Amino acid sequence: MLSSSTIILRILGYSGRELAYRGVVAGFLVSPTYALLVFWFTFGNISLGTAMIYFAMVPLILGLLVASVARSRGYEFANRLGLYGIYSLLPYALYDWTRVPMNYFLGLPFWDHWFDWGISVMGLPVSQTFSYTALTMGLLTHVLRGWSFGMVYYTLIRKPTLRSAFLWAWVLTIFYWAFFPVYVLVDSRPPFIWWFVAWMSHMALAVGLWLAPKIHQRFY
Amino acid sequence: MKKNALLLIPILILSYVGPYAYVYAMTEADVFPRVERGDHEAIGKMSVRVDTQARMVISQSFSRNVGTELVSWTEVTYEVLLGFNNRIFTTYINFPALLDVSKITFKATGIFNGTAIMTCNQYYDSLVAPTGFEILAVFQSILLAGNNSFVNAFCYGPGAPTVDYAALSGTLLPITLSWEIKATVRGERAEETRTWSGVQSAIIRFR
Repeated sequence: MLSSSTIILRILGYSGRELAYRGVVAGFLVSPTYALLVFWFTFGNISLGTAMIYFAMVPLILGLLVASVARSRGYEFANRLGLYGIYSLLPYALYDWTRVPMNYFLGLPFWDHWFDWGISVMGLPVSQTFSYTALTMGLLTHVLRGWSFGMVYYTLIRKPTLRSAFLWAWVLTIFYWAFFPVYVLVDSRPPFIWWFVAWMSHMALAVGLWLAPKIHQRFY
Repeated sequence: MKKNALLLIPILILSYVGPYAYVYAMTEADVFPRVERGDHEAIGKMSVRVDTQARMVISQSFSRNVGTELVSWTEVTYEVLLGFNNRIFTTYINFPALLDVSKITFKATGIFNGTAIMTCNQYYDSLVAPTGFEILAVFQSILLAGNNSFVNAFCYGPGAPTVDYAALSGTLLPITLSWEIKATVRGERAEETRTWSGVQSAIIRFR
């Protein structure tokens, strides 16, 4: 009888040690989300800018160090991180693309909290919330988080498939559904359409995760 | 590179930047104008109120020597309640928020029988406002508490012999209060310096 860990390893298709390396690197790569959680859990007392340095930048550096060790041990995934970085540009862009028509036709905002993140990153006064500086900085943290979700997926998965991409997208959807209504004030009383758009955009992200390597293959 | 692969590059670039170009375009064309319109409307709807009743807080006697003569006088401190009403407004995403009111100056004169018996000149930095990073319950309580905000203004005037409360019968003194409140009011993006003024009948409650 196979143990559950053996079954997981067989599904993923690599050894326990490789899984450990991939898991640790992925754990560090998802760090922009740690920064957001720290910002949320402290109700903004730790600014997003500070959290991004200590809980995102430092772990990302550590992730690169672990990846370089994995590379020296001959684990192939560590050689492909650069490629994963390019793949990861597409999924979050598709995620945001799905929100564009929902905004245009239904007026559903999707960048309102970017302003709040932006002023926290920059340490701007509240009076500067609706400024392009705040919007740009908030957008960058959003993009970095979306990009890191792609990196985590490609680091953990040997061969991207629609099934595993949708599974990861569901994990992200549940995270989104659970945290945003609690910690993002303007999302605290979401109507049904909010839940639907959150789900739909993550499914688009899944399509992007699956599609990006296929598009890239066309270049060779 | 495979055939036609180059065609993919502009499509990919468009895919990467498209949503964000949309965000900036819509922010400029729709969000900011809508925010500013809503702000100005909300700022226009905000009102202030000066209580028609001033309360005598304390009467202090002072004396000092001027040469060989001892000069005595009395100074009275009054308290007037100021109200800032209708601060709650709806933002461009239909979420309630509170107008930020800061740099508040209150100037007033209370006249009794043609004599200025109290003058007010007070400054407040700002009224309480939420940061936006609270949880909903806390945010809502700040919002409701702040919709009609009150602050106490202290005014000063001469006591006896100019106004001798000990010699007056009753506990109320009718006065004419002329006042001016100036404040910077800010919504989400727009900011206005507003001035309100008025002349009203008021009373001083001195016992």
